[in-house]
Amino acid sequence: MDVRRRWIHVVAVIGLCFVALELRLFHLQILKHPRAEQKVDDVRQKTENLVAQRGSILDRNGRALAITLPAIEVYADSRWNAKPQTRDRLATLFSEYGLGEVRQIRADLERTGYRKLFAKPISDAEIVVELAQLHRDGQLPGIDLHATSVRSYPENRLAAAVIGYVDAEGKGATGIELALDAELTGRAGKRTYEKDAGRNAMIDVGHIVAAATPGNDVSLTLDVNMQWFVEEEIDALIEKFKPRWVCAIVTRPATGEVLALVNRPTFDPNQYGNYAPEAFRNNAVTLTYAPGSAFKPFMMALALDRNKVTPNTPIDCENGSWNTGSRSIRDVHKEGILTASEVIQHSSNVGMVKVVHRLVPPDDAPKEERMKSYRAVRRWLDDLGFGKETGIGLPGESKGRFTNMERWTRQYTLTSLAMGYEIQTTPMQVVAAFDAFANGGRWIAPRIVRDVRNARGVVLAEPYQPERVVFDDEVAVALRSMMAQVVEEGTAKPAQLDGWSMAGKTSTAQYERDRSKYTSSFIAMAPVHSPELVVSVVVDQPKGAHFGATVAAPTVKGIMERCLTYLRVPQDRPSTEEVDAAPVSGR
Amino acid sequence: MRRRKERFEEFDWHVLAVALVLSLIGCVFVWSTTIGQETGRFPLVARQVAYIGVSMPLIAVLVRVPYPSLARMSVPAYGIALLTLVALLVWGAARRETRGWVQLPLGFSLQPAEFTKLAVILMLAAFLRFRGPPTRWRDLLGPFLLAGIPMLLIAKQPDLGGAITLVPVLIAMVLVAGAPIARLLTLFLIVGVVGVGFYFSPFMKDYQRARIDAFFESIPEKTAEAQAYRAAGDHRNARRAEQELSVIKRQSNFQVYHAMISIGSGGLTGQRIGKGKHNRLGFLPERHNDFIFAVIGEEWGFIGSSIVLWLSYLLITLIFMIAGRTRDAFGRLLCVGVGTWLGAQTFINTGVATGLLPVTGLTLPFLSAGGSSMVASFLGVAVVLNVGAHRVTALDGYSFDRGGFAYGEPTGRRRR
Repeated sequence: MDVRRRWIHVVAVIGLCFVALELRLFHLQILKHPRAEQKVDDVRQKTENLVAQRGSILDRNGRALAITLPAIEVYADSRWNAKPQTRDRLATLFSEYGLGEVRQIRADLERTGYRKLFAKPISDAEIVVELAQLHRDGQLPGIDLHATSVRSYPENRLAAAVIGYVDAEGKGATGIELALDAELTGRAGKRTYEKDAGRNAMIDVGHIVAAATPGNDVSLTLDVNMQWFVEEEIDALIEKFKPRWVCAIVTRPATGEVLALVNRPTFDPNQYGNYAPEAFRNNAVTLTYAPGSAFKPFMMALALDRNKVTPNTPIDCENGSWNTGSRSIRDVHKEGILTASEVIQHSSNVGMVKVVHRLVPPDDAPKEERMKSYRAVRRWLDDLGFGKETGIGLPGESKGRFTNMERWTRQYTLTSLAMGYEIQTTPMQVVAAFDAFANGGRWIAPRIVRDVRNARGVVLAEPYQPERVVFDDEVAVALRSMMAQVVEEGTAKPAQLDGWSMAGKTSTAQYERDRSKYTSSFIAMAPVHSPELVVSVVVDQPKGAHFGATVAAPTVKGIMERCLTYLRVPQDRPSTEEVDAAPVSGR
Repeated sequence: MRRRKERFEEFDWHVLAVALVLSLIGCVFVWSTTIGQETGRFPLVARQVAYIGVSMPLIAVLVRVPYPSLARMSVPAYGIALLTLVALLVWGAARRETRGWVQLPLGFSLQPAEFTKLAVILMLAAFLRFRGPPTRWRDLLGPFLLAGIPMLLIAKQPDLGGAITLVPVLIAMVLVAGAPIARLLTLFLIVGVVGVGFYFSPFMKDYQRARIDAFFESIPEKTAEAQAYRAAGDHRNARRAEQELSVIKRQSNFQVYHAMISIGSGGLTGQRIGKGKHNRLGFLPERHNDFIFAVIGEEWGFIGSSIVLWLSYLLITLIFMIAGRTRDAFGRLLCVGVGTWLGAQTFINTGVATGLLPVTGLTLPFLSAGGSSMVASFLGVAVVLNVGAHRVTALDGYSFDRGGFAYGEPTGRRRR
């Protein structure tokens, strides 16, 4: 081509470049337009969560067990307090408020960047107000105060496992805090605002999309005073017997309300970081044990209900030693012929096994016949709430355990059940079933949550309590008088109350795997004729003694007397003199 | 006097009209970017109009001087340009990491590099006009040195973009002067290799290298990488990738990232002048200046930015058509030089804004805010108008386009 026309090449090449640009514009502005539009909004619009204040947990009288306090977090920006004098002044000032040692704070202030100065938010109202004042006056160069909130447990370790705690993210971790987290949390609000490239909010307040709804308050059925009585009695017991774990439950049988619930080991939810995992466990619902002799009343009630025995039916207790098949049953107290009532009073194993054997055919009977009777026993125990959760609404509840029905035999399973073995129960299951004796045969699901109210005090929800009549009032009355005899004359003499009649049953259950370990317990109701309270104390692996009458009964006595006095329950029994340590009888 | 008037035959109003339309569009967007944010003594848009106003009499004067006499000015102009560049390097005011500015009273400032480009074009045209076609390697040495020295000085400021603009100008002018295309292609290859070498050399400033790095490992890729790691459950590498991503965004590609969002959010028709959400909230640095095209893209959309793009190309084509009409080699070289300069600078600026090219601080001719760029661009147009207006049928002496007359003649000999 002629050199004179070479300009056409140049302008054509430039033209090609411009075509490329045009294509790029098409790509960006037409094809990618929706995404760019999205990004524009993403970059500019910021959404901020408005944290809802968590609801409180209260006892039955409205005393606070868990509350949320406003608090501040202190942030330090090293660029703005770079001068040594400033740092010295700030460190001294903070240490005067008891926020740490001068030297430590000084070192933390020197760390570069924008950092949280103290690990924990400051919730002490006085300090918060004063720091905020200083901050407003410009006395805290390079210090930012961020509003936040902290969960506080005013009663510290009181009923800790029931209440639970809230983790660092503000979520309930155990106990009621976990179980009713959704109710307590409330609904976070939302605020959107537009920001410019400097990350400044363009409009100060922004647009509140949704206001935060504060969480609901949860009232428990616990009574802080009674809880304190039980905590103190249990502390004394721990001191004496150093057990592996303890669980004490106080209920009002008529309503199934749990008035006090104490676990050991326990923790302080204000410092939950310092404890081993078992401290957080709620023994009442998560642990299972063989109930031992405490189970005998339930089997006796079954025999009475099915008219296999009456309270006065004579039972030959074989002088404390009897063989059934290859098994040898022994009693601590060797007795001859006892009435059914006295079998409970003396906690005779031989007598109890013989009573239970009346309920089912021998093992050489046809299988259908045996299974039919086994199913009747099993249905009875199901109706009393064994083998399934009580539905109390605490997290991690255990079902307990039976031997597989297919493998039930009279010689083994029923004989063991008569004495409270081959079954695993939670302390709460036993208490709930025991309440049925106090309620004239009506089983009622225990409850620990009284109600859930919103911030304005309107009751939003109450727990549903299933209930059913399991046996007749006559049976209940019979069992109550049998167990009253246990306290009056039988194994639980040390627990006799000063002023009230009481019915109860001791238990000293061996570990089925390790016969040298015991779970000792005592469960009792008082007064006998219209029981106001049921108290159960379960002590695992006590040291020094293992009979339920020795380990648990005195504690139950202490709890009963203080609680009945507190509740002003009329006395129905003349005050007795101090009873000397009665001869103990076990199992 | 009479003769000169006679020769003042065809004043190409089209070129001036298109240039004016572009510069007025520029004013509109400079105004748009400064609504409610003006703090200086003179509003930016008023200054912009003033620059256009100053340019018009300059054009009127320059057009009347027959352009062959410009050749006489080429050596002094070039010399002054070189001296200014050296002076800038020595005393130049440190401003935005580059030293290409001279402070003037009343808050004005001058960017001599813009005028230097014009001086280089003038010098190259004057150098090439009487020579035979630069067919031998050593024939290319002269033009390459003449363009290369100011390029190095500008690059040293450091203003890599300003220097790079001169590369297509040089190539186009040498090509139009008859250099064999094959030879130039070979040269491209060599320059490419040298360029890669330069990237690894210590002459490269860190921020320049970061810009180029950022261009090659751009944000979408890093984002995809981070997402891939996340999906694979490799949170450690994902965090690393995200950190790198944020560094890239912050350090280098931040401008381009937001320029692309701005342009993309314009869509087909744009969001009305002064209503570009993204650029208005300060996400786009240098928006009235180097990134005004992104503002145009956001507020006028695909249609508006295409119009601006092709108006610029129309101007360039008109300039080249004047080159085609001019029988005289000097005039043709001047037009090609100015046309390529404006074309290259427009392409590079818009290419950067749309993410096609790595970041270089170049203005968009006629559109960006800034007096130096505006006046220099109009001076370029004035030169072209001058060439179009004066039909110099033949200048004496040998030239590469006179039918092989100078072929085989020794170069460098000047005849008047």
